[in-house]
Amino acid sequence: MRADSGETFEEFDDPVFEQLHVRPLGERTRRVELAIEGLHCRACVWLLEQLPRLEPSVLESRLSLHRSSLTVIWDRTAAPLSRIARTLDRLGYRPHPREASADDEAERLENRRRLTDIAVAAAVSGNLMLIAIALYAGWWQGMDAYVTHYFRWISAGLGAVALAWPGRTFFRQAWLGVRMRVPNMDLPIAVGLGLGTIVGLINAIRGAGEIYFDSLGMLVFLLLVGRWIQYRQTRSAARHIRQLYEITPRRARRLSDDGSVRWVPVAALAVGDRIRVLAAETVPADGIVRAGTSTTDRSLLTGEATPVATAIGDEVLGGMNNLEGPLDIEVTAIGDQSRLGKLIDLIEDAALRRTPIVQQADALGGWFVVGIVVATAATALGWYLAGSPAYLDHAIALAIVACPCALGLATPLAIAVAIGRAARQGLLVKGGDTLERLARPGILWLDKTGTLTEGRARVVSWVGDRSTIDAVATLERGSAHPIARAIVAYAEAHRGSAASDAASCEAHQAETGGISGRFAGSAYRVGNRAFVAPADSLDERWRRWTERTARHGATPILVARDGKVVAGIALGDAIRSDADAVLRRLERRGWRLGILSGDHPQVVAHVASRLGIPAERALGGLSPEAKVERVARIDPAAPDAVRVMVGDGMNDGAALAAADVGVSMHAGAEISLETADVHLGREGLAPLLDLLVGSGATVRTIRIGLSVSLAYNLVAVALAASGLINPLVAAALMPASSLTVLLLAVSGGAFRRRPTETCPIALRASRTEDSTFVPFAPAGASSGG
Amino acid sequence: MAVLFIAVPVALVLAAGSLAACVWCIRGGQYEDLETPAIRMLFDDPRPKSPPT
Repeated sequence: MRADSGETFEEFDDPVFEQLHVRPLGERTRRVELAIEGLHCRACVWLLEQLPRLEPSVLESRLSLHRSSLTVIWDRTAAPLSRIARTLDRLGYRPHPREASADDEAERLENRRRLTDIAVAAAVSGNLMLIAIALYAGWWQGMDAYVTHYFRWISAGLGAVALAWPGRTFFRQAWLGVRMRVPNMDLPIAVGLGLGTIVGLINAIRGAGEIYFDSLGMLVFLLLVGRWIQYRQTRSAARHIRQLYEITPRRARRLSDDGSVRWVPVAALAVGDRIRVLAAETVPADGIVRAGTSTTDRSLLTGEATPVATAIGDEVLGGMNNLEGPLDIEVTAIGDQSRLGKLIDLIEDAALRRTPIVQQADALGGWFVVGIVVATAATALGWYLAGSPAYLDHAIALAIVACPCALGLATPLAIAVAIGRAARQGLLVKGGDTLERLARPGILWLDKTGTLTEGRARVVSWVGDRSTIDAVATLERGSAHPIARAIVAYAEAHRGSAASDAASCEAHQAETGGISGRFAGSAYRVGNRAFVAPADSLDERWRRWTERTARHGATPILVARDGKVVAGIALGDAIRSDADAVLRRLERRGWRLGILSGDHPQVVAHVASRLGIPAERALGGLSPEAKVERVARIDPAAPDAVRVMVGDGMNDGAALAAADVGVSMHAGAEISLETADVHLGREGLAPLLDLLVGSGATVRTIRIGLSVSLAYNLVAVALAASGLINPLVAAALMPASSLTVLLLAVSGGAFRRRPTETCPIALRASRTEDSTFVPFAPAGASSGG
Repeated sequence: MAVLFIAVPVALVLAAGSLAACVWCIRGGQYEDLETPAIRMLFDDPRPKSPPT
């Protein structure tokens, strides 16, 4: 259990918070739903539901593990919500406001509607089966004609219920598809159901021939179950993704006129408010810096990898990371007017534009249906030409037995199993047909900063006197600057422990542009060129090294000992160690790769050449709008190729939504989580490879399921039609087909294997990188971020 | 076999009854959280203030 974070949670008492998240119950009682971080053990349920005993103002507390949320009903006159929040935090469960979105309620109703439909379909088709058994038994042993008619009419009545109630969804969807001129899977199902009903009714009235209501009822039931399983899996993945961004705080420190500071929800900010952002915090709103100087990391917003110096009068945007010192900001835009608000508009536009493509992707099921229709027509024609009066019966029998299990179960089950397994590997797949679309290689657009690269400063080379590592690391240890942290991390990795403690370090002080101090009797200055070697005191080779490093998009840092430059440190946003291996394997699988970045084109070109991505598909300096435009553009050479976008930043959000499949990286911006179809919950690019490989395996499983089921049913139909087996045996064999499909789906190979091992490659890569660190061969290994 | 004219409708009414019960549970939200209630029932009720005699 984690320790208490010392937070005051005072923003929970803000009137705006109350308006957004709290529902009044009685005069004094209020209800709030809080997302809870850190739920892991079963005992959490017990502990959190004991809350009324720990905090007397709480009247009731109910936990839902399913939603990771706690519903609290409390007496607001007895205690403010912030006190309850502090109690929860002390227990080790940090509460976050939960957006009581309309989606929640819609999802709840949708789930209930689906379950009700399934319950009705199950009851009806179960009874239809019992009646069918009675009819088969009667056919076997003989049955009075009036009893047979009686059973057939009951069967017809139950069948009508199954089609009119749970079955209506197929007719409605099929009709919608026809009206929008994008035929979907529901169309052949609706045609099959409609045809079967009409012929069944005619046969029931004339008292002869097959009635199909038992098969039809079972078809409706199985289709609904399959779809519900798939729906549940995708909802659960979407819920996990949502939890990831619910736990990111949306609050700001507002300064009042008398100088006091108070936490408020971001929604409560107004234009003109002054807010304070400390080091290592995210800027909550767009504004202008009024006090303080710092460096801001804009990589999530713009793709620029190099942090930017920020001073009074500079504009900052919500979503930037404040790296160094506190900044006081005057808010200039909120809501729709802010940069983030505009990005959200762009995302909504992009998502709307994508809709038609989504539905065309169902080609696999489409071909299967075409096959059945052709086979049915051929059967009817064949029997008609052969002069059989039962030609229609045979054809419809084929259509019905070929349909049910394969279409109803094979696809959704295989997808549900794959999504469940993928989630266990940390790959959260939101969309049902995402895996099908990823199965065939197309074009893969990758963001640069944070996707191909690590997205944070790292020492990429240390040239000159390497014995300075200990001294520099000791001096830098006290600083929170990202460059200092990167140097300390490098020293720890390369010297075992960055040995020395502060004792051997006589003095150090941080100044603008660098750090200076004494270590083991020598005076050190570590920092940028202006700090270490003012004016033109830098000798020729170090001057050349500095310029070359900067040209490669890396940041040069110089180390001077007793006034003489002895070492240079190149810091850059390093390419991920697994990037090269993953990209080569993707290329071998047929994917075409490209980069879409907001960073400087020169830096992008450098990364592309290092990773073997063709220059014409390495595009830099793109705005979010330009990214959307490029992703949405259809390649005339391969119009059907699926367009995948992989990114992590806010500036990728719209492109993720515009792509056929959007993939958001681990630790990406919230907004990219929201719009992506898949979220990679593990660090690095290897999960992307797992995703694409797993998608291929899923579609293979679906194909096998469909073929086996089809073959099975065709054999059964052929045997039945030629009189080799009687209907009773056929009926007993029917469930075997569903069972086979079920077993195939569960035993499918998708996302089975352990996640791709990248360790050996990564280790080798970093070792070779090290050995290429010859003096004055700067930053060849660097990337510009 | 005339008994079937009574037995089958009775059976169907029974089936409709159990279906109605199931739909009632669904509408009441009984199937929404399948994890927490299963754990909740394992814990003791809060101990009564005065021991029962």
